[in-house]
Amino acid sequence: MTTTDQWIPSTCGLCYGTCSIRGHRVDDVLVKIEGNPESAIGRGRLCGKGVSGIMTLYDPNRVNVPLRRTNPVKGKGVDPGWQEISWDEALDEITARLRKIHDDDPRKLFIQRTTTNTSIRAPMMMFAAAFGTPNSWAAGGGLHCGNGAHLIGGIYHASWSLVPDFQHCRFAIYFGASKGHGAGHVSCTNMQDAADARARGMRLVVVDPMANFAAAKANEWVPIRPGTDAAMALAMVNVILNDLGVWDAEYLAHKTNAPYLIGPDGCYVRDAETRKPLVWDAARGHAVRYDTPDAAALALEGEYEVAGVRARPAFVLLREHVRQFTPEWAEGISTVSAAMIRRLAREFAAEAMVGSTIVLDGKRLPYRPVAAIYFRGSQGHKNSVYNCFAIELLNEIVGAADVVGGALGFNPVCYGHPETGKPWYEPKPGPDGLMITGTWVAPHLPYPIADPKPPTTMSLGGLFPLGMFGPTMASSDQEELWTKFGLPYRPEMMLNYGANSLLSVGNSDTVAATLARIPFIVSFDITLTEFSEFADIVLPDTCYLESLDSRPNVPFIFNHPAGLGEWSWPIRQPVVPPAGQRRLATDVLVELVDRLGIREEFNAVANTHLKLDGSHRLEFGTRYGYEEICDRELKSHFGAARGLAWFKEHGVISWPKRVEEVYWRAFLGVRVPIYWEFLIGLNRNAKRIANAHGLDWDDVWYDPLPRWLPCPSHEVRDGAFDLWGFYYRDTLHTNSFTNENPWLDEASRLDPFSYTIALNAATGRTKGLRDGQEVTLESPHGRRVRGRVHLTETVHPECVGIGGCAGHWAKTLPIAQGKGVMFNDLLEVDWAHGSPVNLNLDTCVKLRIVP
Amino acid sequence: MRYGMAIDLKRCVGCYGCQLSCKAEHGTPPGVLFARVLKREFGTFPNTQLVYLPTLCFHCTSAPCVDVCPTGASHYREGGVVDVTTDDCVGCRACMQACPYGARFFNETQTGYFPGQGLTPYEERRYSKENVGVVMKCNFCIDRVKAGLEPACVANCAARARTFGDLDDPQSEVAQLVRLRGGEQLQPELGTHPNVYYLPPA
Amino acid sequence: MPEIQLKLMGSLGRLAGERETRLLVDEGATVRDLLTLLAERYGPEFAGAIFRAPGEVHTYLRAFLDERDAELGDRVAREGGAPAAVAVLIVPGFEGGSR
Ligand code: SF4
Ligand code: SF4
Ligand code: SF4
Repeated sequence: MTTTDQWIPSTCGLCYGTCSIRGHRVDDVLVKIEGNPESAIGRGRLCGKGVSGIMTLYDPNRVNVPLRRTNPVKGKGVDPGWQEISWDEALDEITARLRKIHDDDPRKLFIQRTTTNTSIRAPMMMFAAAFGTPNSWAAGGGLHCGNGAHLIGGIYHASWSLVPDFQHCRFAIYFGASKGHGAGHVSCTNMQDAADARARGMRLVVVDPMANFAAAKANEWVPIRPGTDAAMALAMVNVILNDLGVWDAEYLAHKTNAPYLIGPDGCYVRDAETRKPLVWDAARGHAVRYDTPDAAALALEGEYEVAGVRARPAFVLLREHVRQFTPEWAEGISTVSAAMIRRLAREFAAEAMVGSTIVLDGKRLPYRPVAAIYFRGSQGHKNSVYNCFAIELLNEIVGAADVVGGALGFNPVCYGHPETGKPWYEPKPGPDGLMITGTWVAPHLPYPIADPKPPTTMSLGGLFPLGMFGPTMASSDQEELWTKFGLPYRPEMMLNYGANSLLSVGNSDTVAATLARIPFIVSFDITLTEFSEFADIVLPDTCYLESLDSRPNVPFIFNHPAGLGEWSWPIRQPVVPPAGQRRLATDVLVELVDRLGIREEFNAVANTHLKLDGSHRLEFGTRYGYEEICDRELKSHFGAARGLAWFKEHGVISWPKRVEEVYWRAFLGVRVPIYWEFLIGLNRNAKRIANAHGLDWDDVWYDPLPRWLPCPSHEVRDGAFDLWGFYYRDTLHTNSFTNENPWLDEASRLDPFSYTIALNAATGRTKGLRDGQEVTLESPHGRRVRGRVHLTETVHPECVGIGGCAGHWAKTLPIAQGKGVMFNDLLEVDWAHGSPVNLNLDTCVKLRIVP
Repeated sequence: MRYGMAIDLKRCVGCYGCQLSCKAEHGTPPGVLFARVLKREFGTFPNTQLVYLPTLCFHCTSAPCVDVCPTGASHYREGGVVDVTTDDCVGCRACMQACPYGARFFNETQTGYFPGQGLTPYEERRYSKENVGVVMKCNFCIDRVKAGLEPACVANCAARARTFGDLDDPQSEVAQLVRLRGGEQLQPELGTHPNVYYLPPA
Repeated sequence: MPEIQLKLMGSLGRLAGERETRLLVDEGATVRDLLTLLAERYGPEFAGAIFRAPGEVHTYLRAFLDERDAELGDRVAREGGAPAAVAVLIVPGFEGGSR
């Protein structure tokens, strides 16, 4: 027998970073995974997870055949009594149930997917749109992962998130972010770029309750009490604007709504005829529409008589508003000293070098080498919107957004491959001149904001148009809220792709109760998880190394490297053929489309969503397999010669980025809001609807300017609960699914933090605890988890940190079972712990240690 | 020619890419980790630093492990690489006692990573019966190096914290880094003369 | 008055209570005119799905004329021959960037 030896280019799928890989296949066995040096996504280097995928592929506990439960009783730890069935049997039953729902009320279908495999997002959302259900979410992802951070990223940077311009930034301050330190979007490339920035001398200050990952590499660690980032950031804004008097007038006047005139009612003063907001043109000596082409002297200060009212530029309101947020006030809330806040504000303002420019590629551009970066830490709270908004203001007031050296959105602008001009997108001005993103990932754009409506979806999203997903998808009070709002249906069936929502949302009892109420659940899984125990049918999915897909890194605002360099569009393809009866889930989805007779709808959505054009569009009446759709998408973007066959051979197409794409802010006429005037109308209308349905309302969440608002954890009065629990990302694990990988498990068992409860050493000693001692943590709601403490100097004395999403109990995951601690089991999933402005779930919790 | 490595503690982010790409490259069985990432804390709150400390065999110039090996299985090879000839190893583990850096591993049995569930196709292909009952260790990926590649842990490191090369060549990147950044050996007082240098974290 | 063959895709079919129908439209009627007509015909919930604000069509709305993407100003009515096939659909607001 001759040996075949191949290196097959594809894409990692062990986290949503989707780094480009090459699989070394000898005969039919995968023997090594390396990074693909030809792609900008990872540049040939992978994290510890990425190289360990072999053990996920070859896990003997993988599901190989479709399964149907025989035990009608559903519950945590209840054996479903799996029985093997054929694919035909499975799909017949699924089709029959889907058809019934489709004919009756498609909204009764609840679609859930994991955040880990980004490639499923588009097909699942396309399926949902074609089927006609608005009830879809990324389980666990949306509630606390990025409802606020992505919203603010979208509104200010037209991107899912932001990083410092690693190539030019001189001073970055991270608030609960780990960009460049081994987790998250663009993980592997960011690690390289951040290491280069460190070597170059970029100063990094990390504000975080824990000095792990980013803070471990920082020049300075600023320990902070969880959920108080807004207080610290607002005090810094106050110092910069009111004590130091530093701001970028040019940027504020032309790139934000800072000059928009605000009347006594807090709303824009508008042009009577066009309804466009007015600004004060100091040169003309009167108010003009904000988009008056030759208006150059837009006032940021003063008070004016306009259209019969006293009006002031929004910037004046901001400066006045933040005066109340003194560093001393912020110290009391955040534990960060007033002196530290003043010093950091001074450094940030000075390093911003307001007014300076730099020439790149023959173009003179603003140079602001500072960046304030927020992510999971500042975001994972009830007040995520104001936390992130407040931090973002640091970038905005000094003009450090998407300019050289500043805070960069990842790739909000793309002008396409030089030969085809595709993919092409850029932000554009929307209502009131404020920016609409050029591309997006979630079901609705961050801006413009829809009018609130009486909710008709499971998440109550219509009433909360700033949110993406809401806790009511899996909350303890979902039935109460649905009744309150008269939701005219209940979920009758769930289609789950790979999400283990038992572990990834909040406490598992609450989630289990919501799942047990859903009459029929179908789940695409690679292994049987705690979630699968609630499924009626499990379909054996291909893992990422057996899968095909044309768009693992699309859209580029999600996980493509920022900064100058190269664009790369890779594909994912099977490195080995699927074993057993595993089938590519997207192909199954397309088959269901056909069986259901919604092919026209699906093809119409696909044409739009994938931007298929010319001869590559799908005819409404024709059936296409998923592979064919992938081929057409690639050809639509890169020409008829570069279809799937070309990509299977080459793996990736790359081309250089342009200065106009990376530092687009200077080139595009869009503005962003430093004053969220739109919240006033939103509040009025949403409140009316909420009150009419008996939901209490608090206007404080809808102020156009940010403030610090307490999390439920800050309001616990019982002194016995003397610790704040928070979750952090562990580089070794993604959501819950990598705990079953034995190489990663081995590394975790040796790591001092992965599977333990990190507690400040002095705090631990006061409590008489030893390193390694088993303890129980208890929340004020009586939720408990058990684990070993790791006494460390790297945690805030008031806090305990728990990494990852571990603590599996399913026997079907023998490697993962019983390892680590499930932090989420301490979290309430209910209305009181969700944000009344964007539905974000709070993920910090007061705790006490019980023996 | 003296192969060596510089590990930049300022660049390393503790991602475990080296530890696990080494495992994938050599197909090492459970418990055998030629490359590792340790975490060490310095200082007290709040003036504390967590340092990620990637390790591997230091390919000592005066290697006690080679000195104590009764059969000559542990030996120096080209470029000063310290290696074990599996066939000659009797599994006495004297070298493990002698190595002050915990860089050697005894491979007791041939169970794979899924206990009681047999070997995976990868393990079937990569594990070798010859490795059972003997000592295994890092050999600076000498086969890769001879083929013109970098050691696996170096090639994969996303933060480019590991640099490999000829320490005898003053122009080599590794020699320059050690010189310019003030690279330090671990426990030089032991007189083992490691050929792996750490560049300071700050 | 010319006739069109209308298909209401995805969630719009449920809101309208029918997925396919034939409709008479004015000579020269545009996609926008058709949407206004449909909003009146199918009531406020349907209208809310189509219009973000009065007169302002949602960015998430797509119309197809004989399977091709249609702009709001395109005419839906066809003189003579078979009735034009018009499909209307709400897509999720992701990606979607185009010239
Ligand atoms: S960062 Fe994520 S995508 Fe990249 S190699 Fe690691 S697990 Fe894979
Ligand atoms: S791969 Fe590099 S960055 Fe990651 S732990 Fe190893 S040495 Fe550190
Ligand atoms: S580190 Fe240990 S095993 Fe390696 S050469 Fe030195 S003494 Fe021998």
